[in-house]
Amino acid sequence: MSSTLCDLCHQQPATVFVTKIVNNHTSKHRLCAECARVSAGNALEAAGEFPDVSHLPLEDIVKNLFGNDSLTLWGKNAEDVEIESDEVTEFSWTMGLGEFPGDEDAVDEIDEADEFDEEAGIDGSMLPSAEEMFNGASSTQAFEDIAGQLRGGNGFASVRCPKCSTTWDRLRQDGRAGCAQCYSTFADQLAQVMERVQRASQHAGKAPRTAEKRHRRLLHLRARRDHRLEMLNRRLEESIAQEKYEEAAKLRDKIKILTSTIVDE
Amino acid sequence: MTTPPLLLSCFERTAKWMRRGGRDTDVVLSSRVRLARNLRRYEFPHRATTSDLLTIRHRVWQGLHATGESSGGLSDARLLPFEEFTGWERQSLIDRYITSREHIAEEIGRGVAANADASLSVLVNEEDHLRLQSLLPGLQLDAAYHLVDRLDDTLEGYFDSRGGFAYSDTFGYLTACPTNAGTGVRASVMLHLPALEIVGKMERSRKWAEEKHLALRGSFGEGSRVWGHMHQLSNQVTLGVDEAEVLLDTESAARELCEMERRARASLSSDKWHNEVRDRIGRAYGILRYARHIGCREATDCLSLLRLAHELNWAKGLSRQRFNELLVWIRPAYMQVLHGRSIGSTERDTLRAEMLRPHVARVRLDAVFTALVPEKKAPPQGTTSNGKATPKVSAPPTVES
Repeated sequence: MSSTLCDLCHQQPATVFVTKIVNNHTSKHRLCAECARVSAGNALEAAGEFPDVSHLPLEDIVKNLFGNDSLTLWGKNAEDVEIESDEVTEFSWTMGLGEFPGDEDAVDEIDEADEFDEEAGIDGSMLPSAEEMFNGASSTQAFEDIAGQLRGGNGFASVRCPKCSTTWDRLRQDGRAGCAQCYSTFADQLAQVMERVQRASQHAGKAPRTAEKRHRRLLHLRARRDHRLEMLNRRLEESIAQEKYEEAAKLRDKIKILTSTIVDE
Repeated sequence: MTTPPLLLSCFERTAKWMRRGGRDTDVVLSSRVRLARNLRRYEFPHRATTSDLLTIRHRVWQGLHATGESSGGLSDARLLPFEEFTGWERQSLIDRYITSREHIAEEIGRGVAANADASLSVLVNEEDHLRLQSLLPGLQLDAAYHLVDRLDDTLEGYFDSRGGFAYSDTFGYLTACPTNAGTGVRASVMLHLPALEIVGKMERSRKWAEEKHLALRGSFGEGSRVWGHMHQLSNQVTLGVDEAEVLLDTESAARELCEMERRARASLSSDKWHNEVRDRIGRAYGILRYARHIGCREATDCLSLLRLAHELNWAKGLSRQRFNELLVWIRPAYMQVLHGRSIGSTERDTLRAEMLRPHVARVRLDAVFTALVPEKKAPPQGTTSNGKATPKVSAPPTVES
């Protein structure tokens, strides 16, 4: 466990462990002390307060991160605060403190709570996801906040952007896409996020002239296809009326092919 | 590309935004519009390889040269690759409101192209491959947008045959952070709001802006404490609205904030605030006039109060332009650029006090400050507040619910 790295900075060993359970879906998050503090600071700043987080007791940091409605449990090990999953009602959180195996004294230091000891950690328990801590100090964090709530579905966890191999999890954590193609790879997820972060999920402003040209050409092609379909349909009706079944069969095939032609970008 | 000379010679000491121009300059210092653009072929800067970053920067340099006249004065612009500058030289670009902390933190493949008065610039490989930016004095977002829009058209033409900008019909211009996708427009206005802070209405104003999907923050970085009563108002939404709407929303909100600030300034002459404000301004004057060492933050706060005194017609002697200039000239990194060497903070504090003293010596406070017998009666309304502001005070738009 001690080798686990922080979800946010990917550099420091994680000492704050967070587990979120919604509808029996479990998601785990790991943070280092520094990131937890920074996140708490951001959360407080978003609420219009500017405390000196560096001296805030860990307990307060955790409260700020996970909200006041969280049920807080303190314990030495993960087992101390382990809760059977059926006991957990939806959206109720518990948390606990533990330490790395073999580091018995660490917990006492945390209970004193003046200095957050890097060696000590918060351990496995039921908490809101890391993303919920990042409420809106910056736009990136607002994005992460909302993107985090989309985790539930999880069917796309393994999907990677074919160009830069970014996963949705990575994008969500970074708050940034890896390349332009990420936007088409994760179009559905992003559209949901945009609905909430932005005012809509459809662009309404300036477009590059090339994009405009492409768009016009597309409309033109579609119009031509529709026109041809209409002609063919009319001829089909005529040939049926005239009982020319051989010709009708040919026309029907043509129509089939044309209908399945998708004029798209 | 020739080696750029020392950073100081790249820019005029007085940037375009410090000069006269634009509306509502009693409250608004500057208007800025940024457009985020990315090249379709490359991964976004935080994921791109070093060679990609260098190629992108090279392409942008070439693009600016190749497009010549139509690039809005950037064809002969100073191209500043960050590798060639020291840390404090790069830092001074932040002091001049040209770029961001994140941008200068990395050097390889990063850079800035800007014209001499910094009214138009391109940030290369910041969060996005390209950030086109214009910075103008006073409130004039439309003019600022017009500048970057033209540059955008020009560069788009250049990159068209080279993969083009990253764009989708659904999400608009694609950016590293999805919160910028769409128009990619970030319009921001720098406001001097001392009176709103003094009468304690800042928090309300911030919430009011939030309801309009605008952010009102201290202008020295996100979340950091506000220096010199400078605040930055900027749009938060970039998708689902067009450019005109963003500019209009931001500008009209900025104007309402100006009115709120003017009303607050007018109320400073009332009995409730009169003594306190006079006290604070007097102290600020004393510090700036006689201090031998002064930190940047203290100097900024004092200058802000002195500026307020000028706007209230309680003092004379310094122009708005001089206040704008001093605001930048006293910044730590910029001072080192001015002196052309690295300077320790103690020496900087001394040099800063020396720089400020002759300017402040020109300030003449009105008679009330120097009167031996304290004057009980507040001066009549009409003469105390700024001449420009007074007529508008009577018909303010109601902002608070």
